[in-house]
Amino acid sequence: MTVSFDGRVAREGWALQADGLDIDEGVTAVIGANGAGKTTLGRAVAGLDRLQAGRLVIAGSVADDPAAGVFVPAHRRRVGMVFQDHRLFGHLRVIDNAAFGLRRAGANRTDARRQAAALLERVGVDSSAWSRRPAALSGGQRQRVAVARALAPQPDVLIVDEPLASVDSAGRTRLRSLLAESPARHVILITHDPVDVATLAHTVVVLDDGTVVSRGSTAAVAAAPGCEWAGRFLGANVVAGQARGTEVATEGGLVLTVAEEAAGPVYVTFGAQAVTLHRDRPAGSARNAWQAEVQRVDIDGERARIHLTGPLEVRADVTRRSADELRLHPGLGVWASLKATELSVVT
Amino acid sequence: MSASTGVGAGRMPAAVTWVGFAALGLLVLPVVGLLQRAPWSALPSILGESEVLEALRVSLIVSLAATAVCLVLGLPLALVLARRRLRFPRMARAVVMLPMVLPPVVAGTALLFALGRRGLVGQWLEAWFGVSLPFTVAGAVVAAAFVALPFFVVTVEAALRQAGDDLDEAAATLGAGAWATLVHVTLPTIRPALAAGTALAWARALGEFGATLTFAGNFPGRTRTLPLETYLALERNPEAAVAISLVLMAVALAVLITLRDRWMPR
Amino acid sequence: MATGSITRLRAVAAAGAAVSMVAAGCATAADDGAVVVMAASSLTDVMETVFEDRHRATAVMAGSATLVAQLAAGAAADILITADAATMDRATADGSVRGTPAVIATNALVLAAAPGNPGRVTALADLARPDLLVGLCSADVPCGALARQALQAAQVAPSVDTLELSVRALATKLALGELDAGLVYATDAAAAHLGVVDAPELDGHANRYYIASVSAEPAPAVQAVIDDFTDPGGIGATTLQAHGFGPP
Repeated sequence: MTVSFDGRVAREGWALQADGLDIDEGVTAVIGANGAGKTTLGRAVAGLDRLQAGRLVIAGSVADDPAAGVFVPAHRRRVGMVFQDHRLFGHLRVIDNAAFGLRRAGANRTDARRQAAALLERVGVDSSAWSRRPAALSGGQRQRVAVARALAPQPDVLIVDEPLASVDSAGRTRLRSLLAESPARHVILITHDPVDVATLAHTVVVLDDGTVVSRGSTAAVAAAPGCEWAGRFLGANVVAGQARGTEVATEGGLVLTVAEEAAGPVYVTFGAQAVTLHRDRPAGSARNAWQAEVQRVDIDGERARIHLTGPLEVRADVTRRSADELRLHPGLGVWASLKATELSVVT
Repeated sequence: MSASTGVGAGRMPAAVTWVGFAALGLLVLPVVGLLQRAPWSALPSILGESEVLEALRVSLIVSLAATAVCLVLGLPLALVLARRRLRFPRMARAVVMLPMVLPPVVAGTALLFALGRRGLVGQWLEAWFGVSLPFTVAGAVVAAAFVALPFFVVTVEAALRQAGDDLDEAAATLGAGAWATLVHVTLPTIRPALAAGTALAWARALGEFGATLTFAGNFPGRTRTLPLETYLALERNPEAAVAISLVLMAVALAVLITLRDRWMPR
Repeated sequence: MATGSITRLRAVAAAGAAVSMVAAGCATAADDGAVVVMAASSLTDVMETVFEDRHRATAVMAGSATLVAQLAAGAAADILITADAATMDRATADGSVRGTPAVIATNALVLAAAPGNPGRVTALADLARPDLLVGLCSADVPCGALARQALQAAQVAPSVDTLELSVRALATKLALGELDAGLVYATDAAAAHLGVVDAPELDGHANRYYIASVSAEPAPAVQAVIDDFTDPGGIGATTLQAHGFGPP
């Protein structure tokens, strides 16, 4: 079963054009700079925006085909959506927000509330909040309610727009696992967060200025990101570890010093440009230094991307000139270093 | 709006405050004038007069029916204005506001030209259905609804615009069709504005005079509403006019205050 | 209604002028020396003709009862013209009018029908037909009081649909065809081009128009205006007749 998007969505003075974009089952991350068309793609799949031309097929049935005069309205599509701004119903209690889709599908109040309660529990909304109105909740709690509400009617496709932006750290881990094992066969994840892509996505679609510039597995897209923004975004290194104060013990045994304090399981992220390579052990302020081995060198114009193995599996971006000066080649042993201020800790 | 206690709360020129209170005085003073001339001891006997009770009955029937008409017709109109892409949106909105600025007597005359027995549409109503609106209770309802409708539509449309269609979209992705969205999301979201619009329309219908007199005439028990009774009493017995006005004001104030506490955003 | 609001504004202006008049000992109620005439609204057309291009008088038009109430409340005027005896009696009784009233014209009550007489009204008794839309003046205004007397005398119980607050409004609704029949003054029937149905029962039921000076000793300019109406050859009297009013 796929979602296949082949067409054009026009917005004011601007359009999204995607030809033969097939979205397979599992979690697909849609990334791109602001205004690249990510949300527009999600809205078109959900049926909130119409195609101007082309065709959208969801699970074998045509959802939108202007030439054939077919448009299946949003409420008949079995496509759920978690909006960036939550959009909870202010006049309904939390439990009835979560039960809304089930009620529309014909469930009676008692059954709908029971199922909604189970989902709220799964996303981590405390039962003391169930009879409150959304306005009384924190941003993070509202986000969780929105996820529970979208999942409740068991959609075939779940579109999640910037899901983890306003969630606190405990909620993030829980929501990630929830999305990873989502009952929806397709999860389309519109995101700005490299950790989401690294930990959740099977496939990545890169949008730039209304067109699809790259798509495929995370590794394939990282190798050919299609635009500078995605290149930098996907070059980001994500390392898992255990935090204790300003120190994070990584799985490979290396201890990284970071600028912010944290505790428990975390991800440390840093851009490929943040990694500096040396022939000898570096002196000076870079305390995060380790010995690594060059696995592969990708030359792309004036830029070189170096894949390193060792205690950390990371990518480093250097200029072609310094790659030549260091005579980098597969199998070479080098020193890699990172400034603590370049590292961000994501819980 | 919550009461602000910050330093910035009272920051405005003193003159503004004074003019503001003066304006409040302009609104309150006539009411005080009415109160000090009120024949308090004779009040029960005046209000117990059969003409007054009859006019009160007519007024309640006409104003409530007119409010119902405003709801049934005004809600779709407000939705069309707020949600549909109209070719001439400003023009449409101006037309909706027209009865607010039209002198009521002119409104009544216009209604005669349109819906009277010899009117543009009225002649066909008479020929095809045998319906004649002028000089009937239905005519009084039409006149009151005509002048009250803009108050409802303007209030509700503003609320719909402010709410936007974000929640409607969310409802659609949860399987709610157009009707379910309207009933379960759109209307509950603007409930305070619906209540406010209904109250305003009702108050306007209750006080309606000129259009009713011109279009529906004046006959006791049928089309003579409280404002008409007040006007007639003014020539005959000014004390009675004051007494009836007091009742009109008390009823309107009671309803507006109740609604404000229960429904309107503070 | 529209003229009503204008005249009320004028009345307010005149009331303000009254104070200065008393102080300066002027001859008339207005400070520019013009004679202020308060006249029943059924005389609107007559007053416009009589005082056209003459700056010696200002006419304040309203229903007779309203005028009397305004006078009692202190409005400044030199002459009062009412459309019936009852309102003039009230003005003299409460002392707001001190001159002696005189009849200047009569206005006969007539049975008027909508143009083309769609209700086939042929007699006064037809006013009792429930299938007709019948309008009368409210009993609170002179034409209504007169109509009530006439109908009682003729023993006709009308099937009334509306009691209009002014004879002009009643005539307009008859002219528009919204009402089938009604009792209006001859002058209003003529002005609105209404068909008049012969009704002998109405003979003798006419309104008398009274004129009186507000002051017991009117100034010469004020007396001149009164004479215009009481003198059978005066411009007031001839204009009244030209507009369909009967002789005193």
